[in-house]
Amino acid sequence: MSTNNEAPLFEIQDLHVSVEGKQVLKGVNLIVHKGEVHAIMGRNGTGKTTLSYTLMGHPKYEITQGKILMNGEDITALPPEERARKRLFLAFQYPVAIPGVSVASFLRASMKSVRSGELQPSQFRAVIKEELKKLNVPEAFMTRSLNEGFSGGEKKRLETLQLRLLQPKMAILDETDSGLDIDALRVVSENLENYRSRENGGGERGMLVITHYQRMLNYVKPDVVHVFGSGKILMTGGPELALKLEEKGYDWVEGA
Amino acid sequence: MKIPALFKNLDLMANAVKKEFASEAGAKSSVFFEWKDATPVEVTFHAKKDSTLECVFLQNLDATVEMPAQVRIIADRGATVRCTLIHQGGAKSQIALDSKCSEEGSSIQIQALANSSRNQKHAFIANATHPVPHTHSDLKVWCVAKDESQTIFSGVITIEKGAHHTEAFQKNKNLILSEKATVDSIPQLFIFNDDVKCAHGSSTSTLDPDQYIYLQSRGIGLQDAEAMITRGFIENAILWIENSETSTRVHEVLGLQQEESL
Repeated sequence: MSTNNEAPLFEIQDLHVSVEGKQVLKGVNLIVHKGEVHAIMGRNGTGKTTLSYTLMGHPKYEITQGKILMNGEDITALPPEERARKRLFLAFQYPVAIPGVSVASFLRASMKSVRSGELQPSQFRAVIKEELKKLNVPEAFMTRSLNEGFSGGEKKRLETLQLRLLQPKMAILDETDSGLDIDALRVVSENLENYRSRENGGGERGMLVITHYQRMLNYVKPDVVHVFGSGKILMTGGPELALKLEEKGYDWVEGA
Repeated sequence: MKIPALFKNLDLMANAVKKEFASEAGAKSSVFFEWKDATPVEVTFHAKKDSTLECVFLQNLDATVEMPAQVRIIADRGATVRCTLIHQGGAKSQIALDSKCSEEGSSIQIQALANSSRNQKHAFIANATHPVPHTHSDLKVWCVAKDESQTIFSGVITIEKGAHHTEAFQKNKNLILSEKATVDSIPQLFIFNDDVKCAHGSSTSTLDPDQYIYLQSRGIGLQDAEAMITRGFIENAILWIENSETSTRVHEVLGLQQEESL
């Protein structure tokens, strides 16, 4: 965690967002320092996915007020690909299928765009193979069309694989635990936790984990937990807050 | 229903160059025909008893040529045909496709692609006929229309009286990449027998913004994302070509780099 005067790794300032004329986010403020994992928990329909899409730059979500900063730089107006090249990453809740585009060609194009400064294309193959092993994903996966006909678990493994290959500085995980059985949840979560561990450079990275449940946070342990409701953060606390939510539900927060 | 066609008068076909490719009974074979000369062609692919025939017909005419072609596919008892048809070149080109599962146990699978740009006009006029019981056909047609191009798909499935236990499917997917491009799609069924499985469908769309965003979020710029999605659409039609030399040539003519393995 940062203790000096350097700019936070990631900052959301008074973010207001409208979707098709309807205001969904109503003043979100959040600061993630290097090495921190923040969790956002909340009911369905409170704006969590709107927040994740907005942070990644989806044009459907109109920012009417506020800013998004990465390492002190205002990225609010940048298109998604520029944000990705600055090492912002969103693991999608519902990754879209692109028939006819193989996983291998997609990953190569993506790595070339995001990591060309540090890896030669000839190195991609070895790096991809190594990460496939860690996620228990067979190499045959690479020849399939991107997300087409994938099970929920396969989609989430692929999102996790991309996170590990693209090495983001700031990762937003939008309900990465949904659609996973117990074993898949363990493999995916262990890989995420391994990614944020200090031995693997996690001290320089940040994560924002959006989830409904405590179960993923048993593996990817948060430093800060936020409760989201009505388009903004209603309450912030330590890891114990997630346990309390699991026990008491969200009524308790909204009534507090 | 009025069937659109690019060539109303097919007198030109009287002078067509005729080609016939047949697989030997029980054998597995592969045929590739590239149509380059500005002459109408009439090509027949015939899979004999219990054989498997992979055939590819690639229309690669010069940019100014306006020409029709006729493709016939026949599958005998127990035979399987896997046919790929591609419209790439020419100014105006039409492939009339007649497929016939002539004997029981036969199967004809066809994947067709129109990759149309500039002012090109490409048409597939398809007739799938099932005169006998226990046969199967499946036609999938992908059309990409860029610039001011036009694509036409007209597909008819006819299941004749007595042809019970027939399975026949037609699907047409169109991708429009320009406001000035047009596509026509008319799938039709004529079923004269009970106890069959039949389906047809057509969908037309522009590029999906969610696909764009997904690729952009992985660092891929807008233009590259469009190229990747379009290429994926095209690959749907040609990925299944098993013969590697044919696949290489098709990719070359379509201007696509072939996928490397991991």
